[in-house]
Amino acid sequence: MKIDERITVGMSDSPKWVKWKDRIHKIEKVGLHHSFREGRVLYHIFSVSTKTLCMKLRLDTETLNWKLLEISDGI
Amino acid sequence: MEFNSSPSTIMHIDLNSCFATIEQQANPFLRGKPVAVAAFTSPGGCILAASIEAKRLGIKTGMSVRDGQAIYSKLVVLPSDPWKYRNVHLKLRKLVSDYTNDFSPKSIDEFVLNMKDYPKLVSGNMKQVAGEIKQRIKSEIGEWLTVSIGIAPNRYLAKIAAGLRKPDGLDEINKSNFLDIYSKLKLTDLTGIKEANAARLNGMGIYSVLNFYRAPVWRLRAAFHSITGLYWHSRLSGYEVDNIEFGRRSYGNSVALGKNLSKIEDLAPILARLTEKMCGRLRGAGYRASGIHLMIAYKNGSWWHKGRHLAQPYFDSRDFYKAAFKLMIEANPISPVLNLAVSCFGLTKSETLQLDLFRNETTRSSLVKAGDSINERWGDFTVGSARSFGGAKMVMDRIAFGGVKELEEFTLNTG
Repeated sequence: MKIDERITVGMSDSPKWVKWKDRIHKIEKVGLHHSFREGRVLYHIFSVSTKTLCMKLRLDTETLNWKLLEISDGI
Repeated sequence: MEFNSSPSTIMHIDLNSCFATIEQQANPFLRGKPVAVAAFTSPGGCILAASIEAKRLGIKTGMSVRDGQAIYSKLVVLPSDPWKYRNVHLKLRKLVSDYTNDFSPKSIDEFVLNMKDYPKLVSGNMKQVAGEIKQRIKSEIGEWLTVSIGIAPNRYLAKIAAGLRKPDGLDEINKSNFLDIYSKLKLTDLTGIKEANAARLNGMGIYSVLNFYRAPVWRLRAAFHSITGLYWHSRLSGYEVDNIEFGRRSYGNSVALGKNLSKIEDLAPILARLTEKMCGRLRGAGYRASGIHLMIAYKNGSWWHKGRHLAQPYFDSRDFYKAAFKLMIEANPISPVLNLAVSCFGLTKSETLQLDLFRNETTRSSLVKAGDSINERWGDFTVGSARSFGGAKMVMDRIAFGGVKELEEFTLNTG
């Protein structure tokens, strides 16, 4: 499901937690990390999972803003 | 010809069910489930990759989403995410470069490594090296990713060996086991031998891979009506005939249309978008082109194509669009279009401008360069012709099947 909302992410080497809609989601696993450029801007994408959800997070390296792009439960 | 008795120095690595497995790597909730990555997730969309679990149910690449879901109603269908797959390709590329500098990607999910200049690796057992590569892929790229690895004295047999067991296979074809392996394969199990080639071989009394290997060269030349027969004989005998890398001769972009479009006014913005995308890549690599080609495939199974030489090598998207649009008028599409493909050929790397009596090439060049600089800074299609913006929704980022030339571009762009 597409979300596209600003979020706060706790990072230490890789994302550890996500604060979305005033709730903290603990990240259990980083499934994949990839990056791409749009023009000069480098984006990092982290496909992470909590106990119940898979989240696609995007870090904009110019503004250092995080966005939650998508969520999925695999069903 | 005796089978090549040299040690196996070629390794073929094939990432199993590439796009679908990468999606399962990214999302652990999808692991163990039938998953398909499709060009469009709507029922008519084409399945680009099926996960190992989906393949076991009979869901295959090329099927429609509708057919896949008819086999298994809970099939998870995902849109493709090209940058995810390109990044895994780049990580794989980096990993295999630790073993040899003589390697080449054959597609987004296939690499060929030549260990000829690394006798210590070869004598120390290629299978051990392959096992280490498999292990490192799991620990350094993703634990859900599996590769099938084939080892042989030549590229062709290494590919065949990689296809013997999927997923997660590791096989070698060499002088001591080739007869046994050939005896278990059908002619159409060989890459490059489909029904038409099999029929040619059948016509010469060749019905099995062993027959094919044992056939004299004259009979194979007669079957293929060319020197190709000799090449097949060498391949199956373990000698190298496929170590040729072809340089780039054209740039092209294509799109599969979901909607039923046949009017020129509907197709023109899509053509403009494709042409600008193609020209951006052409100029980015420092080329100009002196020819244009248009191909239209219709949903009724018919198709039309035509190429045309241009007056001189061009660089400006507007010149290519004008020529491509004329070709589209000639094609006069009257039934719904399935695929639209534009390409340019006759590439030159000339730095000097061919001046024109009737228009200012220097001004055009400056304008095009300014546009390219803006797009490089802010992203593709930040500026472009107004007509191309109408085609934006139809022309999406895709990975070309077997498109190794495309891989050169994104390797350069992600540094």
